[in-house]
Amino acid sequence: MVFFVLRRMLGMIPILFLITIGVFLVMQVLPGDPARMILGQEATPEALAAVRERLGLNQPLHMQYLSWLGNVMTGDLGRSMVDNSPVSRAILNALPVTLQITALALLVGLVIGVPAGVIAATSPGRLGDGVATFIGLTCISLPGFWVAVLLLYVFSLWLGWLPSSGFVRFSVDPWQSFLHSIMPAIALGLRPAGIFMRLVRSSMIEVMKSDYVRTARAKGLTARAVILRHGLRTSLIPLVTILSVEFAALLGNVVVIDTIFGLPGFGRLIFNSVLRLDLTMMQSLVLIFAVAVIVINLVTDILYFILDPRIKER
Amino acid sequence: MMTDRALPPSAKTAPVLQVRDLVTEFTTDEGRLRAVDGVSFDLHAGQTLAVVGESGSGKSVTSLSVMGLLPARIGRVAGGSIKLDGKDLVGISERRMQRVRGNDIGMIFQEPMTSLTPVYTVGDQIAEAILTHRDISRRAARARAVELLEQVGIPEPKLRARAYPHQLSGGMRQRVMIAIALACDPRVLIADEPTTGLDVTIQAQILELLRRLQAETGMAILFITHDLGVVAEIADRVLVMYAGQMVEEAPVEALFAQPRMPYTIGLLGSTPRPGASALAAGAAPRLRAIPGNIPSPRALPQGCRFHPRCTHMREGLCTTAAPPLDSAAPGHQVRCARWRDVATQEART
Repeated sequence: MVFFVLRRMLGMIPILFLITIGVFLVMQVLPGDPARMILGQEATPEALAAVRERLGLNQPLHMQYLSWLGNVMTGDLGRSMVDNSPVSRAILNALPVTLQITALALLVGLVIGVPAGVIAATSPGRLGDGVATFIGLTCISLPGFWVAVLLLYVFSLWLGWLPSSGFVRFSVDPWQSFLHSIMPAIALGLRPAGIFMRLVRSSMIEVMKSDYVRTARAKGLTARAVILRHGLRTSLIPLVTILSVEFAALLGNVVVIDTIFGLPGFGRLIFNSVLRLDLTMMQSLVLIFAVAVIVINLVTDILYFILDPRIKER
Repeated sequence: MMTDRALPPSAKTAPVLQVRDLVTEFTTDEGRLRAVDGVSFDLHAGQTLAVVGESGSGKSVTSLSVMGLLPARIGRVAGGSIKLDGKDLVGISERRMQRVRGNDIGMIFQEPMTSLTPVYTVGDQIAEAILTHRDISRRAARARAVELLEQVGIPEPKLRARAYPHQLSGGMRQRVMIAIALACDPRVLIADEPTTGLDVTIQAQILELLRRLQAETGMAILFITHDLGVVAEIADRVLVMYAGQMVEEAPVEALFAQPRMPYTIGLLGSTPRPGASALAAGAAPRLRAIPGNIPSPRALPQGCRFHPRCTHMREGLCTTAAPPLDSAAPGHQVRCARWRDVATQEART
């Protein structure tokens, strides 16, 4: 197990390296002169030259890359081109917000999607299947921003149960933090819920036809034990794959959700950095997202390893 | 060891499993199909009854009916009785049937490669069967699982109990399946083509194992197969099925020595038996295939269901009236209107 994880982590290194090169080059290709962006259109050539000197922009490309890489490795992502504040601090502030929202969103997806999938799979072609499939399709079809607005209207404006905007950190007040997270998590989580439902349904319908489910029934297990221990357990393996894909998709969707609910998460950072052409921030965010996707893939591999004993042999 | 194999079942002992006029139907888009039509048999403790037939003859559906494992909402037992120790299993609740499955009746299947859940160790899967029916600790169930593995002839049972199914060969997996089926000392073991798809040497080992376990436990075995070679190895009595009906039932020696139903004769003729047919016919052994295919339950022929494929078919007799089961000898039943003529004709050739 430890060996497996270590090997996978070693395998990540070259990928990470390639990602840093990619991120760095993309930023170089983008139009616009950072020095001019910092100083504005009326800057004197001397001032521009000074800024370029300070930022190392007049060095050869590979030197710029290496010094940037060196800084990144020590956790220094540079300073914002807009307000000169450290990018790392902004990211560290936004990270827990986005992690909390996306984790809750995945939870919403699993809590709705998996039981609905099980119900659909164990009653194929009947009422339960119809209802669950309808819910699943609805979840996939509803756009997140629309659900968000609808939730805001019903639960904040109309019923007044939930705060409409802003965020309270978990460390400050867990309950308020939870209340602020519910609607964003639901708005983000409905799509994964529908996708999980469909996946669990289709893979479980197959599994329920399998010989080993017949064996489980021949043992005299209750229908419940057959479904949960033998049917669902093996259907979870494909779910793990989709889980990682959906998590990556959620990271992209937080832009809209953060904006609608006024959350100080990654979505807001992305939105603002693009709006203000804050290249350092964008570069760092792209890097962080890429790393996040790789880490999720690692977690997926480890989950596979735990869920499916056959993988150990390969 | 096989001392009383050949003896007919004593009339004094009640059968463990008594099936009478079993009718099993499937509801399909084209209406109701009768997959099993009036099958009856007695199964006594320590005895093996082989149910033989081609694919589609209804032999597997018979075993699934006994197990209560017909596909939900599609298949159902529409008539007859299945009595285990005198108590009818037809129509009892699913909850009560769960207490019978794996406890009073164990079952093993054709596909040992896919019949075990891939994500649990074989020890856990055996222990699960015990824990379902016995009120014992997990630890005791695990220990019992290791004992069972040893009993079914798996070397290093302690180590193997921690193995996952994919780490075992097909023969080993079938032994594990047998261990699961026997976990709660069932009175009846249903073996649905348990050796099909295994290497011949492994087949012989599994049959030998079943015989040994039967001698040790006195369980009754309902053995479903299409392989008459296997029947000769293991069965005391044989029930031949064709198109959902039983067409012949006899002690194994009688069936092989004097098959009465033309279909049985055809089956025996299409089974390679070195020596036997050569000696009988005084010529080189020749395989005789039965022409045609088993009819679909959607389109059963009028009269005798076998007549379109039968070499002894008599127009007007076999094509109109469905023949009843007739007693050809004590304990030897045959469903053929012309079995006497067939017997004399077969004796001549």
